[in-house]
Amino acid sequence: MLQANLCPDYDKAERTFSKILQRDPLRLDYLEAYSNILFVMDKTARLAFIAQVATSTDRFRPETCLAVGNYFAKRSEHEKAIVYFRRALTLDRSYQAAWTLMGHEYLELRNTHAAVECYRRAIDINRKDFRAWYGLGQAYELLEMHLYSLFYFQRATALSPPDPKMWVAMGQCLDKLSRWQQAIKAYKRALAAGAENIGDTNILQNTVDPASNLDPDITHAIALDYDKLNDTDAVRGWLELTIAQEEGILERAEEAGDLTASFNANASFVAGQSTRSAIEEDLGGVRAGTGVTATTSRAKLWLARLEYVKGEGPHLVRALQLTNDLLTDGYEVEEAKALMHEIQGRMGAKSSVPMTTVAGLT
Amino acid sequence: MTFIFHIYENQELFQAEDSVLNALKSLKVVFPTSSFLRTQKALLYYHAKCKMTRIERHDYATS
Repeated sequence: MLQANLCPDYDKAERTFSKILQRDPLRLDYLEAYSNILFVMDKTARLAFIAQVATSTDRFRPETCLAVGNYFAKRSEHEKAIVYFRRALTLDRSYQAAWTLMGHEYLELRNTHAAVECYRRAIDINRKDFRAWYGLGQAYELLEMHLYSLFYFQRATALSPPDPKMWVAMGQCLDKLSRWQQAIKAYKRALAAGAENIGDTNILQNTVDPASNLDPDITHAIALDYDKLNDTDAVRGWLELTIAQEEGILERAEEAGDLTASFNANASFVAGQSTRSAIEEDLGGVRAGTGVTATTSRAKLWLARLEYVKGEGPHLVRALQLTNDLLTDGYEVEEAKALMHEIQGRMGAKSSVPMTTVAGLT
Repeated sequence: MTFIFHIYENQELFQAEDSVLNALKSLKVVFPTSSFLRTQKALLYYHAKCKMTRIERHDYATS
């Protein structure tokens, strides 16, 4: 089964390239794309093998130099990688992939001016490559020139609208420029682009299907933006959504007791007979919940505070529940404890709250 | 030849679309062992990334 966060197309592309290499081991065309795929998939051993094969075939091909450079980049030996990318560029000045990758390496080394120069060359060669535009945006972000980076991120998103990473970058950039409304819009686009199994969700029109799997980091960022706009209700809604991402569609469906209702499941599934892993496999790599992460815990703490500030019976109970969860999960323990004491203090002062509930929770 | 040009140009402009995949399939019938066509297919998957996934997921959900 494929890992959920990995796009299966990388896998297919890798397999196809691997077949090509088997049938035709001396073919070096587009080898840089193969090495890029291996780089993204974290297959260092295979990357080393490719670099070796390419070097033994022809060490004076730019593709070879790029594969070797990628290998060094994977091993975080950025200077060596740059040497090989330079070599590739000596062999072919108009080799766009090499310029872009060299830009990435300079960015890793925090040499932003060199990185900008490389990306500009890459763009001069091919203006349709969103990676170079995105890299330029990142470089200017490091230089804290956010208006510049916004411009480049906009170009990148225009070239690659289905990529949520671009929208997130744009949202972060707009955050820095204090344009909260626009940032929220960008984040929502990121959610719309990256969400899996979104069901009836239309994020842009603020209707979210509770069964959809969203990225909790983005929903948390949206909550932060709404907080800046002093829209407490929206903050609470997005925080609830963030926390809901801990449980995947599978858990939520199991809770509801009907798996097929929330997902168009297959015929082979018979309730009570299939094992859990088999169900997951049948669902074709549906992302399970993210589990407890630092972000969802932060969201929990924040929501607990909001509920505490509201200060009425059910709100306090909910706040207590959330802090309890935090203590069990082991995140933000100190703050959760402090908040818990405050909540319990207030609950003790108010006789309207049934104490049995509190005892049951603690 | 026009087909090959069409595929190559789409690849250069990062246009990973179904029409390219169809063109590739029809060329595959003529040149079943061509490494060039295989490479182009792999590149198509590489550039398509999540967009293709969503199409497949959609197909899966509706089938």
